[in-house]
Amino acid sequence: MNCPIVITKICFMGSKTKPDRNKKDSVIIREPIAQNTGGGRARQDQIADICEISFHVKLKESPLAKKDVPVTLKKFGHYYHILVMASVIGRLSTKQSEMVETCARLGVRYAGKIIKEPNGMYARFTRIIQ
Amino acid sequence: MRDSQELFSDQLFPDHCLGRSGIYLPHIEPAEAEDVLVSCMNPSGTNIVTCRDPRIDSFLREVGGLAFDVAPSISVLVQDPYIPIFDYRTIKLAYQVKSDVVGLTLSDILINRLKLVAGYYTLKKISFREAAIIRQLCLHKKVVLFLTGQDVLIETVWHQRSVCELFQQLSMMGFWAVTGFNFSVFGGECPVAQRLNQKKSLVSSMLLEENGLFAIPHIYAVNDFHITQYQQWLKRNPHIRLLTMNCQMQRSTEDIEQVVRTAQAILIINEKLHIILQGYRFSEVHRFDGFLDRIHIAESKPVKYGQAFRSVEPAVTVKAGQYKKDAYKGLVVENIEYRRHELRKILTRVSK
Repeated sequence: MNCPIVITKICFMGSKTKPDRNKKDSVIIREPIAQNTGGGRARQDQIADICEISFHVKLKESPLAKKDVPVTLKKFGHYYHILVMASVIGRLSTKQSEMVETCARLGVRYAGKIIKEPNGMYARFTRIIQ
Repeated sequence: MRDSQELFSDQLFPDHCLGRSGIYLPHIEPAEAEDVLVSCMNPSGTNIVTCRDPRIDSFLREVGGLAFDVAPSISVLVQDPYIPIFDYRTIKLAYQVKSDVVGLTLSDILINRLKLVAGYYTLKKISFREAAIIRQLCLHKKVVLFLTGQDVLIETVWHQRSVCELFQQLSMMGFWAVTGFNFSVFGGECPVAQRLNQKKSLVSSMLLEENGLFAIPHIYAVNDFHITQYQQWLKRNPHIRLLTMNCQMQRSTEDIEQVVRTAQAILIINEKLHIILQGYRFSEVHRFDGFLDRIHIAESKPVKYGQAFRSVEPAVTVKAGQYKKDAYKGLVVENIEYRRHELRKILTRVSK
């Protein structure tokens, strides 16, 4: 059996003279475990534990679901709905809705835009810490 | 004591680096703050801990302050200038190469490696691979574990090192030596963050040694202040014979010159000192004329190329479908031998 050429992804990492970090390699540095002396957990650490850096949600088929279009989240009942302008094009799961709600109290919001994947359109949400 | 002018300046420019006031002397020179290009205000604590992070004291306590006052007490030595780095998929091929010393990296010893989820690297859980396979290799080769990788990986494993019993796991695997963690140091960022990461790396070497492992300290300098501090550290620790520097991201002339400047400046301090440059380009080896007998290059290129059914020999072109599924194994071994030979040729040619 012949095998097609597979391009192996090489990810560089380490240090540099210019501050041009890889945006995909983003992590909240958590407070050292043994060093927290009972003053409660820092906001950054709570965010790192609770608020996913990004997530995506499959969208319903809609003429509004176009690549790169920004989307917003609005809560209706228990769920956050995904909107383009005023039209609903998707919905977060219960777990995702709870996370967005909790994270909002920690000063975190999620910015969303539509991306195209081979199996359809998705809304990708990225954590913004205020 | 900070004078009123500095306090006034702080109020006017709240994102100024606190290092400029001299409060971190002698570890951070006020002049280093002049090179800051990215605001020290990093409220989320993303990737680095800056002078403005309210948790900074916790991080400083963890590493015992910013002084370069720790070093492993025993140093290992390597002879071979070339160190191939394998990954877990190709680990068994390491038996077939002539190299006495071979490398693995942190992600190769973890089961659930980093995954790209919704555009970002994520590490859900730290779980180690079965130690037996790695231990078996360590009985036949001197295996160096390079603690390099993405920040997400490095910082998560470091933070969870006690919970996941990192050092016990490494001991069970039987590594010949383990490098210090390569915490990221980027020019233009807060000098406190830079210095903290340099110190964390040295502390990680010390912890490795405390847990019965031979440690190879990792260093990285982005300016002359850093170089001087490392020089002084080496003068205080003349028993250190081997260091490592991750050069995988150094592709621009400026970055390469910085690597060379750093490596030469530290090699001058101790004529018995060697350095392993991880991922350094062969085409830039000539820059180390005068130090070539103390330079070692570790790289994963031949392994990665082999797995992609590519030869590292520029003259060899591979067509899609030319190779059978298992042919990558032979290619990996051929690629490694070719690179080892190439490096020897370059070293001989340059040193003539």
